[in-house]
Amino acid sequence: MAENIISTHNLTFYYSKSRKALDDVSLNIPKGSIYGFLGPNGAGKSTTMRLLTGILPEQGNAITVFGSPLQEQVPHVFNRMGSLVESPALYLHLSGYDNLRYIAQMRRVPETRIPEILELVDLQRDAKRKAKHYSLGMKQRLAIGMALMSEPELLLLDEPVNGLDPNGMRDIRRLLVRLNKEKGTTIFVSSHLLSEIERMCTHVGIISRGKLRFEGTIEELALQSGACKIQVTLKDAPKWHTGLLPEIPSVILENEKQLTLELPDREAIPEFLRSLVTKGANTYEIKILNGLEEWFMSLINQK
Amino acid sequence: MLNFKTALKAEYIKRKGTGIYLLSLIMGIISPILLFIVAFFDDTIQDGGLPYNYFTTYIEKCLSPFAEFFFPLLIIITVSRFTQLDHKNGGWQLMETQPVNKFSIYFSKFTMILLSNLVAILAMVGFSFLLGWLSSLFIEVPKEASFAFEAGAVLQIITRLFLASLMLTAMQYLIAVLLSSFIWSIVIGFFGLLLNLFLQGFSVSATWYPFEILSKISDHKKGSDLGYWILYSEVVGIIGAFLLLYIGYQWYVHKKFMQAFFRKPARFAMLLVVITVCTGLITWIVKPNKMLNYSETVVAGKIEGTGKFSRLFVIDQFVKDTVAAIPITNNTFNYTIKQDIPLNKYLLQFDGAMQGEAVFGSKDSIYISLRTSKKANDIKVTGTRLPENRYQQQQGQGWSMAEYYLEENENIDNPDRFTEVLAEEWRDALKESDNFRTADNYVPKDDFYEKNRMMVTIRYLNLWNDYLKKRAAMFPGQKTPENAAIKEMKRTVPLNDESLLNESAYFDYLKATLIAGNTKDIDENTKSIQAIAKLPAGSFKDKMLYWQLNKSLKEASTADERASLMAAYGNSFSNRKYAGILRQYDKLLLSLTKGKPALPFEASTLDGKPFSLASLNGKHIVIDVWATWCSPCRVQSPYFEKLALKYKKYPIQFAAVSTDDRIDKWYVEAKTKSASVLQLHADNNRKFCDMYNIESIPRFIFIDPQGNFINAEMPYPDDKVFEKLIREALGLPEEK
Repeated sequence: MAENIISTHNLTFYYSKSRKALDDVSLNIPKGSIYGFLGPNGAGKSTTMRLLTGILPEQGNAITVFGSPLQEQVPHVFNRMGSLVESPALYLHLSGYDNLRYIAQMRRVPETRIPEILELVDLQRDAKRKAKHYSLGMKQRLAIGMALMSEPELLLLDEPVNGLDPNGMRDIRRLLVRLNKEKGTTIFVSSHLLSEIERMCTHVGIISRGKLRFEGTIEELALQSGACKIQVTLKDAPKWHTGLLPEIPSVILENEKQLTLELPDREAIPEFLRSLVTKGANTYEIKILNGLEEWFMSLINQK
Repeated sequence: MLNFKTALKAEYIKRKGTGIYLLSLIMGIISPILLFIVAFFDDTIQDGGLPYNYFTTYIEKCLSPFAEFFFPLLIIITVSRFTQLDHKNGGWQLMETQPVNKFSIYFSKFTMILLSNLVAILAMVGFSFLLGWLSSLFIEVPKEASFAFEAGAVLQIITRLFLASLMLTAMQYLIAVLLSSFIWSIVIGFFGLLLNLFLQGFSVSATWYPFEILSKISDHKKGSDLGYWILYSEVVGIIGAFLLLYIGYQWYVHKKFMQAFFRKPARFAMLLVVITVCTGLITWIVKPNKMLNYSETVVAGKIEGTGKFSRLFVIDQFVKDTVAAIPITNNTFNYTIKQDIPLNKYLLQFDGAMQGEAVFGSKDSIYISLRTSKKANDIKVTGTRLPENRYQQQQGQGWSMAEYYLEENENIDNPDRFTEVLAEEWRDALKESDNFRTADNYVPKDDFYEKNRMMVTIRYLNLWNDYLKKRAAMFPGQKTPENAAIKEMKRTVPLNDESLLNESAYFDYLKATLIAGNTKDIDENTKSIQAIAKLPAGSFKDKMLYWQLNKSLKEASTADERASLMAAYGNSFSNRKYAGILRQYDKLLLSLTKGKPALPFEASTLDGKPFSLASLNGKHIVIDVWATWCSPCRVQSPYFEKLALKYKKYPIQFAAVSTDDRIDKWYVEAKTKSASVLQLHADNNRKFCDMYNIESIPRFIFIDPQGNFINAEMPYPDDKVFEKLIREALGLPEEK
């Protein structure tokens, strides 16, 4: 098993006696992974994030980072760890360049690294402008750039794409994947969008109402959804519906041209298709319906 | 340490473009600019006389607006702005996720604010030099001013301001870091600032109050009386700042108050230790000190400046007894008074000319420094009675509402209102006496304190007695109830304290008590002297009789009346000394009666030539005795000048004799007066006043062509009788 860069052991946190924000959360973030931390708003994502960065003082000693308790390593652990919490934390009265200069000073990184970062987050042309004139995406990129200043081994990002347009989302996604591939940076990223996580993460943890509901690789996630639901568009759908019914009891006639049905898993799709074609069906389109979404919804609605 | 430097450098990057230090600069230079503008339009701001440093004085004049208003205001604003940089931008969390510890974060920011304080202080000092120099080009600077750079004094002011700002800065910082809305720290700060200005008006103040520590600098611009580099209030400020920084930092680190101090026993214990030690130290420092008695009674001192002196006379003010004649060698003196002397305000007379006062008594060692120049002199008394002498210098008798009522005959019909006002004023006056502290937190010794309480009370009891008199006259038969406060006042003042009898106010009080029951239709002096004559013989009676006889003699209208008073009571004294002094006084009064020769006095004219009274023989002479500082004199002098012009052609000389200590002031003002009045300055004004029994000015003296008095105490010139007397003497018919 791969080495865990972050692990929490039954992490529990109370805001007050009656308000339990986290309940027995045990996370394991393997080295080199992009770990998606998924959950609806108010599930405890930000609380976890703040605990992992030490902004919230831990009630106990459940967090281990780089193999040692986090509490013992604050603040020098931040030499190896970049974070973006409650984004975007930056000084709006300073230019992008000065924001980076500030972080360079705080992290004792030579200022020569600033142009590299600017290039990495694609802000070269806007470096001299004040951050308050930046668009939300630019601010977000600058904040990520600040988190990357000292080439951290671990990057903690709280909702990095929140409020961005699809282009902005894609830019950031690409940036993170690139970092992970090129520098081997472990990335812990929280989001409430399942699709986002699905698209870039290698590992997933799902939290809801303070409890960890699922943890595993993205493949394990796919398995979790159980049967694979597909939609088939073909000629003479009613006829095929009757034909398939004895073989696959879950088949439903949606309309004149469409059927939905469940297969045991994704791997069963090619075989099913082949048999359909052999039987002479005129198939126009086959589409995997997102069972994950429904499963996710039921997961987070658990009491 | 490396960590702290890193954080500090980073903070320095962060302040870029905020204009915070520019604001500090501006707030620093406002006070010197204000002073510059004021000095430009009003040249009376320059006070000369004794040698002083021009620049240091300029800075000291800036201290009041700066330390009491602009500087604290700047601190409130700067602290808020520095903390808002991070509150607004999520900066606190950003900083806490950097490899920098919280100590560095908290204190690097605090250091940045202190830097802003320093910028403001240096700007104030620097611009004082610049604008002081600039204004010296436009405004005539007294010759006594030196333009040297007093590095020590300037550095001391800078240091004191900086230290005094610490506690306020720490307090504002604590609030501003915890409360993320900018409004709270500003509102709390403003409220604190206004509260301080407000409380000062009521002479309520607490040394540990952060704003008060700053305003102490403007109260004591010269700093310690005892030669310390900083004041006790500034030490309190340092300790207070430490306490607030400790609490603020712990609170910041653990986010919640409970978490910071109560979750773990060790944290709570540490908090207790820090609070106990700091408040203990502050309480100890704030507790006023008293000077200890000395083994003998020593009067020592030195004289700086022009003039050599050979003797210092210490004179009892009551009967002008010389308590000690102290030899002065090389302008220094050190003398032990062997006999027991009571605690009193003694007159200090240097060679019979230069004069001052000092409070002391037996077992005191006092040090008198006299600074003198041709134009002015200044006496400072230090040693075991330093607080008492400072108190005397500072406290004049304040304005009194009750006294105003009496003068204007208001509320005579409303005893409740009058008593209420009187009692309140009395309590305030006592509070003022209780609250007095020197720059170094010394208070007067108990004996002085007790006596002062009584003297304050006597003042209000005398007002009460005057009120009773007025009421008895205006509303006979109506009762005037005494309230609890009046009863308490009466309890405070005993009726047989001989030591208090050196003060005329106490005599007035005793006299009023003695004759209160006497309803016979005779004048007060007679009532009083009859009652005093019945007292048992002894020094108490002697003093009472001395006061009364002195008063009776002064108020007697004829020489015969005085002679009969002396005959009736002159031999009732146990101590012959008093009778002798009164006989002297009687003689003096006699010498001033009509037909007696006016004694020659030494005076100088405007061009510095000596003047002799004899040179005016053959003419009538009217003399106006005045001084530049005397405002009733200013009211009368135009009437006097008008008459001088009117009778220009007659054989009469109008002359004005100034008794100013400051010749330069007299010179400037006398120059502007009409040439028809001969302007003179008494060379030795004490001697002149003694000789002519001048107890108050303005005073008008009329002398005939043979050099004899026509009237040694004329009515004022705005009174028609004044001119009538002149016309009579000149043999002119009465004007219709």
